[in-house]
Amino acid sequence: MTRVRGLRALRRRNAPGFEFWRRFRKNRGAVAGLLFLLLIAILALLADIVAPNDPMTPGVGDRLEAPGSAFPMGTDNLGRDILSGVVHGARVSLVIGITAASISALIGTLMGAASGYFGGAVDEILMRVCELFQSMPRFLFALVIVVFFGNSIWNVVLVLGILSWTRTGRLVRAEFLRLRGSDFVVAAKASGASEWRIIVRHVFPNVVHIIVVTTSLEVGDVILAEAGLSFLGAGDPNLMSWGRMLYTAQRYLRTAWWFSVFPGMAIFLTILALNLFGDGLNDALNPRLRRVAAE
Amino acid sequence: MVSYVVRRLLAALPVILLILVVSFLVLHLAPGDPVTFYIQGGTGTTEEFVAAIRESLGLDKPLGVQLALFLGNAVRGNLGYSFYYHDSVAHVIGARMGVTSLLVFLAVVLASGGGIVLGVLAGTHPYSTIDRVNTFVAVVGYSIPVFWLGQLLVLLFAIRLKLLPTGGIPISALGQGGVGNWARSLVLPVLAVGLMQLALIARITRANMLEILGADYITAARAKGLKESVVIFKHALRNAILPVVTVINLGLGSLLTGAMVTETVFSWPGLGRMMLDSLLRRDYPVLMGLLIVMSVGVVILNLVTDILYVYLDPRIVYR
Repeated sequence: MTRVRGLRALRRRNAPGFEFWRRFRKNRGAVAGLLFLLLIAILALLADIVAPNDPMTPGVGDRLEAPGSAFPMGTDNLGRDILSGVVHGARVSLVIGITAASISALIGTLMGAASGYFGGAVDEILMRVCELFQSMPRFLFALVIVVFFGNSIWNVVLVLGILSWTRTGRLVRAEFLRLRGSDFVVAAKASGASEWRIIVRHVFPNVVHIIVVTTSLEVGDVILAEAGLSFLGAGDPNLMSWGRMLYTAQRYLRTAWWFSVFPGMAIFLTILALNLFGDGLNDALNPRLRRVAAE
Repeated sequence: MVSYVVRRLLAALPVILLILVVSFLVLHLAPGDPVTFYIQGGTGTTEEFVAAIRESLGLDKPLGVQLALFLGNAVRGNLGYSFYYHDSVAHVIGARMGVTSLLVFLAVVLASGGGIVLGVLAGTHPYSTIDRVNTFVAVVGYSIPVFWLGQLLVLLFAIRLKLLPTGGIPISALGQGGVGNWARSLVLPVLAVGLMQLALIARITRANMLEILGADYITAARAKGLKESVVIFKHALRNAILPVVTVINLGLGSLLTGAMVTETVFSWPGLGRMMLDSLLRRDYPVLMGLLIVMSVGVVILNLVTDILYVYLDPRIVYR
C-alpha cells in the first residue's frame, strides 16, 4: 500500500508543471493575484446571472443613489446600477485585455523570431520597424485611430494589439539571437532539420516562457490603455466599461463619490492582480532570470 | 562624443520622417470629410463654396501630393494652419505647450526626487517600516490608473478635506491668483502624474542600493573610517541612481500621456484638452501637429537622456 502511494507521489512530482507550481505557490502575492483573477473571470463569464440588473437600463433606481442595501455600489447619473456595471465591465476589460495581448504576442513572436533567427537585413529592417512603433506614443495613436475609424470594441482590440507588440518582439529576438548559435541548434542543423523545424520545434519551446510572462503583463497594460480611451470618451458606446463609468463619474465627483470609487477600484485591483501574477509567473518560470528588484 | 551625438541625431531622422508619414496616412485615410466639419454651422453652402474651401485647404490634391507638400512644409517648421483656430498650428500648440510641459517636468522632479529618497531609505534599512512603505508605494503606484488616482486625490483632498483646489490654474492666471494659489493648484495633478514613475524609481533605487552596499569598494570605504553618510551618499548613491535616468527615459511617453489624461481630471487647458477638442472638430492639421510634437519630443528627450548618461557614468564610452 505504502509502495503504491510512494509511486503515485513520485509520478506526481515528475509531472510537467509540478516544479513550476511548487515555486509559484511560494509567492503569496502571486497566488492572491491568481485567485482574484479567477474571481474576476467567473464574474465576467456569469455576468448576466450574477449582476442584479442590466447595466445599461436607466432608472432601475433613483439618480445618484448612495450605496445602500438595494444598490451596494449606488447608482449613476441615469439611475443605473453601478454594481451591475462593474460586473459587466469585467467582461469588457478581460475580453479586450486577453485578445489584444494575444494579438500583440503573436505579432511580437513572429517579428522577434524572424529578426533574431535570420539576423542580417531582415533583422535590420524589422528592428527599424520596431523602433518606429516604440517612438509612436501608443495611447495617442490609439486615441486618434479609434475616434476616426470607429470605436467598436473590436477596433479597440485591433488597434491596441497592433500597437503593443514591441516589448515581446524585442525579448523574443534577444532569445532567438542567443539560442541560434547554441549546440542543440547546431546539432539539429547537422542532422538535416529544416529551418522551419528548427525554429518551431527546437528554439521556440525555449522561448515560450518569456512570451507567457510578457503577455501576462501586457494584458494589464492593455486593460489600462482601454480604460484610458474610455475615460476620454473614446470607448465603445454600446458597452458598459470601467473606464467609461469613470468618464461619466468625472462630472459628478462632488455629489457621488461612489460613482468613481467602485469602477476605479475594479480597474486598480485587476491590474494589481495581473502584475502580482505576472511577477510570480516570471519568478517561477525563469528562475535564472529572476529580477533583482523582486528580491 | 560630438560624433556620437551627430550620429544619433542622424539615426533619429528616418524615425521622425516615418512618424510624420504614418501620422499623415492615419489621418488622411480615416473616413469622414474635414470640410464638412470646417463649414459646420455655415448656412446656404453651395457646391462651389465647398469646392473652394477644399481647394483653399489643399484637400483637392491627390494624397501623394498632399503628403509631399506636408513633409516639405514640416521640414521647414511649418505644420500648417488650423481649421478651427484660424491660426498656424505651431503657434496654437506652442501656446498650450507650457501647461503640459510644466506638468511633465514637475512630475519628473517629484518622481526622481521622491523615488530616490524613498529608495535610499528602503535600501539602507531593508525589511524596516520604511521598506514596507516603499514596497506598498511600488505595488500601488505601478497598478493604479493615473486618471483614477487623480479623481481619488480630488475626492479626498479637494472635496472631503477642502485642502487643495479641484482644478488647476493655468500659467496665464498666475498674476490673479498669486503664487501660493498657483502652487497649491499644482500639487494634486503633479502627484497623480508622478506617482507611477516614483514607484518605479524607488523600487530600482532600493534594489541597486542593496546590491551596491554589499560591494567591496563600499567595505573598503567603511574600513577607511569614512562616515556612514559619506559612504551612502557619495560612494553608493552615485552608482545607484544611474538606472534612474533609464527609467525616466523609458517613462517619458507614459508621463506625457499621463499628463494629457490628468489634464482632463483637473480641467487644465493643456495639450490633452486640445487633442480631444481637435479630434471632435476633425481639425487635422492640429492633430497632426500634436502627434508630431509628441513623437518627436519623445525621440529628442530620449536622445538627451542618453547623452546625460555619458556624463553621469564615465565608464560608458560611446564610439
